[in-house]
Amino acid sequence: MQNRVFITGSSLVCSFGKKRKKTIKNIKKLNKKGYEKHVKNAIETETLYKITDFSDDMLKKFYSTLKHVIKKAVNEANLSKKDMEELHIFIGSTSMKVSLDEVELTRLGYGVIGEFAENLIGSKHGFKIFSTACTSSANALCYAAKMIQQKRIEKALVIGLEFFNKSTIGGFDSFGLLSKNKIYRPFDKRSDGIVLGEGCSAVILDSKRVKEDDFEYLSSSNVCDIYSETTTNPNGKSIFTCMDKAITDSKINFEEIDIIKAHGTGSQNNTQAEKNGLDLLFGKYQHKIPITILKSYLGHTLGACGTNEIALMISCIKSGFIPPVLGYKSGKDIKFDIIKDFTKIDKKVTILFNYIGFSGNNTSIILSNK
Amino acid sequence: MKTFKLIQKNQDISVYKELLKDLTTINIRRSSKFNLLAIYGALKCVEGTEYSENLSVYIITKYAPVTSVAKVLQDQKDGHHITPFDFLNINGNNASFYVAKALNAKGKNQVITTKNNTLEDIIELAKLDMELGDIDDALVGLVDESIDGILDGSSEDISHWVYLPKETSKV
Repeated sequence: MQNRVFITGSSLVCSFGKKRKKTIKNIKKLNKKGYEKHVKNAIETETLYKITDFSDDMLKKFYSTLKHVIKKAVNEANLSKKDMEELHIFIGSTSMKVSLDEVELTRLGYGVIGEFAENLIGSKHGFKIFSTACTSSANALCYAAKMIQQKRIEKALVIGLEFFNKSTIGGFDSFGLLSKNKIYRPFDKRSDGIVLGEGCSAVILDSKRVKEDDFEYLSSSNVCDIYSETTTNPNGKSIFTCMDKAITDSKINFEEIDIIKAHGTGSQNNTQAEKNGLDLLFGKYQHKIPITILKSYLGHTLGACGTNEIALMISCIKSGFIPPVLGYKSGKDIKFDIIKDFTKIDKKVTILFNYIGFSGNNTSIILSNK
Repeated sequence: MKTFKLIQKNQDISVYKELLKDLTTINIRRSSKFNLLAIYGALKCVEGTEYSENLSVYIITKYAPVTSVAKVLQDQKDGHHITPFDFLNINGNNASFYVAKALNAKGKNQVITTKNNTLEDIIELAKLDMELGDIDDALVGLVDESIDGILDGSSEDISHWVYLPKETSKV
């Protein structure tokens, strides 16, 4: 008999701010017209949504944000000091601490991030840091959840972090992947690339449910292909296999899934790959599920997008709505339903989260609070 | 259970390119030293072994592609733009991708760092995946390139691999 796994606490800092209420309020204000206005205000020089609630000094910003998300998630999960000591730490990021290294390289390796979290909560169990590009924090969460399911650990703190650095933005620019118009339009005909985002989130996983509306982790899957260093196979088979395995392992019927949170990279190859993967999925089950994408709100927060998008989605659902794909009007050969407008819901949903990373790393996670 | 262990003083990237010349046909011309070190150790570890088509690759590393990161940081300081190859080389999982590519391994590939950075830590993850039936066999490696000359650091080139055949989780 496996343990069940619940998300008992979550927190997010993004360009909308560090407070959940403010983030939700600002998101609700956005409509089709409001989106473009918001983008113009939110994006300054770089093709990036920035965190502005903390100091501009990167060292202060990095650690203050990290401390904030950890403390918020821990508080929401009602963890005592003793509980915090029992947390196993799982971290996912693409750029890790390059943002700090660009200011001054003082220490090699990524361990310093784990040590910071470890010292902050007094964990007795150390940390694991995942580096699988844009699926990093999603994979961190999957392993944490599987370890709880298998009764190897009881509780976990999962962190996703991504902060501005010249290397990342320059790297994406060198591939011509950044949006020239600086507007995210996932799956839309007018999409011209990616808008990056700073974001940091924390999620507490526990074998015991704390609140009635806590989301439960049902299953996950990670499928890799060796098609290319930068993209998953455009035929969509790896993405389809990944989503399908998560569905099979969840032991729920496909029709019970209410929403798919697609990755929606915004790059040509990944869009094609994910579109094909979704077509294969809907073809197999002969049933379509509405799709949303959260990158219009957060930007692409790369390795942190796993936990960032879960934290944001949970907040939106608990506030009674599904966030639409802002910037989307119509796509080329899109046969599935992309959510275009804010939709009210009864706060009880099952969601499939899909993620795609460089080097063909694909991850799907199914969460439900039904 | 097959193993391969390379621990030696800091070598130039050209040494590993030469060693790989007869071992693989994949294009590693612009690949990082970290990648080459990983590929070399992995290929030597499974040399003569019949591994599954769905072999999964797991790498644990303390410093990741540290010389590539140091180069990019220096290039930034010197006002140079980052190139696509430099960007790919600073991505941690580029190494596990290349190992998988060199072995035509179609299972999952992961790169992690832990508090203690031991092979046991990464074997634990591979065994978990095996136990859950997510993977068949696994190739796990502890890979780190020397930090000689970076921040007054000093260490050796390491590429230590273990092949875990199917059913290892039951051992």
